[in-house]
Amino acid sequence: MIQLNNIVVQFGEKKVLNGITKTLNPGEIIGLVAPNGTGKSTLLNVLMNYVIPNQGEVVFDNKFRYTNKKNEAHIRSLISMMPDQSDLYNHLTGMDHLHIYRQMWSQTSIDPNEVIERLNISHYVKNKTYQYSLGMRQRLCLAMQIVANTPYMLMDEVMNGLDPDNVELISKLLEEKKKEGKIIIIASHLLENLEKYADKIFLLKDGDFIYSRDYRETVLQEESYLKFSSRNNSKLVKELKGFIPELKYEELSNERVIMNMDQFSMDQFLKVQNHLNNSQVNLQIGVLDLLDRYSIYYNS
Amino acid sequence: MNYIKWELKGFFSNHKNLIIFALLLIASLYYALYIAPAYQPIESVNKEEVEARYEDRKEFLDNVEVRNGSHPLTIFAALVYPKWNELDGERLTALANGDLYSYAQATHEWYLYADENIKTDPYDVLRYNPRYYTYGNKHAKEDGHYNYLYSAERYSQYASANYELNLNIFEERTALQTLKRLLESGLPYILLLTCLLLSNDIVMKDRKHPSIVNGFPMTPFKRMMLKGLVALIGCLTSIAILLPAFLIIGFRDGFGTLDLPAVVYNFAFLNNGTYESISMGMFLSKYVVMLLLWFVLIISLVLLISILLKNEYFNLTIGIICFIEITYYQRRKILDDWLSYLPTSYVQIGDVISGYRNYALFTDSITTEKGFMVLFSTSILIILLIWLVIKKKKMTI
Repeated sequence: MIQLNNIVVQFGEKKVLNGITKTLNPGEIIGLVAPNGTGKSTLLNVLMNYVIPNQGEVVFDNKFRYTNKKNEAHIRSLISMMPDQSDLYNHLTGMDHLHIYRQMWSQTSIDPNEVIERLNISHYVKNKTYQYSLGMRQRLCLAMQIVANTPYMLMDEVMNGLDPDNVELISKLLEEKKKEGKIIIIASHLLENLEKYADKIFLLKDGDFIYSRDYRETVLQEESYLKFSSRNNSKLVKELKGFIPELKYEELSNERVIMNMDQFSMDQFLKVQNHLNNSQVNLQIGVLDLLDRYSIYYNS
Repeated sequence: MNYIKWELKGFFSNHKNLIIFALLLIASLYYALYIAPAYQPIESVNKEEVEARYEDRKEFLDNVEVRNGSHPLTIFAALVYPKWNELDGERLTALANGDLYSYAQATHEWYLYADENIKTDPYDVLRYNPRYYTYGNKHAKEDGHYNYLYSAERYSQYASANYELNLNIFEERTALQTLKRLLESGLPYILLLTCLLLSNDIVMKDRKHPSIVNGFPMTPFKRMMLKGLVALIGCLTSIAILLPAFLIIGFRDGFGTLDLPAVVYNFAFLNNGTYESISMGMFLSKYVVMLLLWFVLIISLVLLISILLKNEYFNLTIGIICFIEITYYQRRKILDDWLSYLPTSYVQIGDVISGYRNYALFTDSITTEKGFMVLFSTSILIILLIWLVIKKKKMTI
């Protein structure tokens, strides 16, 4: 378990994290969502003790705190952060990288060959890393962390540079790791797929979580929206206003128009549906997804 | 241990380090193949020279009659030449008979006799070997005196040696003696600067890979110490690189033996010290210990400066410590005793162990034991500082 107790991080006048308090439990994948420069990497750095908070503390397993260098070394045997692909040693092979992670986390690590097989990197892992493409480097970095196999795993933009096949492959792997009881925290500004495998999503803004969602819980009484997206959003809205003058809508930065379903009578809804169908525009009805919320919170 | 393997892999695949090793290898091979064979010792075994001197003096002694009123220099020559020529005669006979033990005994006596006469020469007409007086050497007489008594001690050891003698041993051309000669001249500077160049980026190289190394589960102090150990292993490798050159010299001129004498000067008032021998093995052992202490000191400084200033180019300024000594140690300058407590006074390791530093600087304050103590204490102090800085400072690269 990881407890974040009132974490405050301030750089000069700017408060990057403003009193974050949260408890993260084993067997969870947590998505940390925010645009670049809003503090999600800082939060990961606090968890690793690369950044010391001005206030608050992080507690691991109810007892371990970053109080001295010895504790720090012990906590680092429990937690790992996925390396940045630009940090790989170009003159060493992928295998060398996997071996050092295996050796450094010898108490928890697993056989690199198992991970190589699983992530399908056997065809290049014996080459020096300067020959790797972005996606190959990214998979190696993930493989390193998977080899370390620590109870707590932090990943910053894990899906960067990956093609859809590999995104799927890694999603499945993360699912497996979650089932082993690990806490996996994934910071990302790429929302595709995050909803599929994350158990919890936190949206970070102005130093605090402005929205959180546990996908394992069913949210009752969540509002439904009619959503569409086209090249002529403004024109379509104008046409809809022609027969529903009091229409309330919002055009998001992801070019999607959302309308609360509660405002429509049955007759109005059928008119809207017909009009959009006639205009050959796909419409959706449902709750706001992560992409919508991201657009609402960060691009309004 | 696993971290050491990782660091070692990084160290020995580092292009800069590989270039340094290659340059060291090339330079040492060039020395072994071209420079060492051309070495001409001042105190060589030169039969022609001895013979010419012997004949000249013999002719003088045979033909000159000392009478009342003879020139004082004639009287002086007639007084000192007979014994001198007798010794030269013994040397020539021994060489003719191939009896190198007798040659060594006669040569030992010859050097003692020659030095005594030159030193006490009332007319200042006798000279040490002319080669001491070349290039305007202001200390020719001191150098000659040192080397004559050094040679006298060396030959006395050869005379009673239980190993086979040869001319290469007399002229100090064997591999071990060549190594010793180098260790008493420029080699310590090369080894210490090599150590600095090899280790200067041992911490800062991680700056390009922070997300990999900063998360390793070990204390920063342990990480620094293991890095230091790896740098030390790298520095020892730089010594191993010299092995091919050593073998070349050894196979060509003989290896010598660890029982060969290494002469040590024990300072006494007005430089009237004594000369005694330790074995080559003992000399090299002391040298290795002092060199290791120097390596530890330099590497510790690199670690400290790296975590304080976080710039590998600042580390290169450590090289200055190899040359600070020049600013305060000069021949014929009166020295303060406290200077001998500076580690920089022990850069010329070979000369410290042989006692030549004390002879040249006219002091008794620079001793091997004090050198060990000063270098060891300084290293411990720097390591303590590293520990303190790491304790107080956030340790990410």
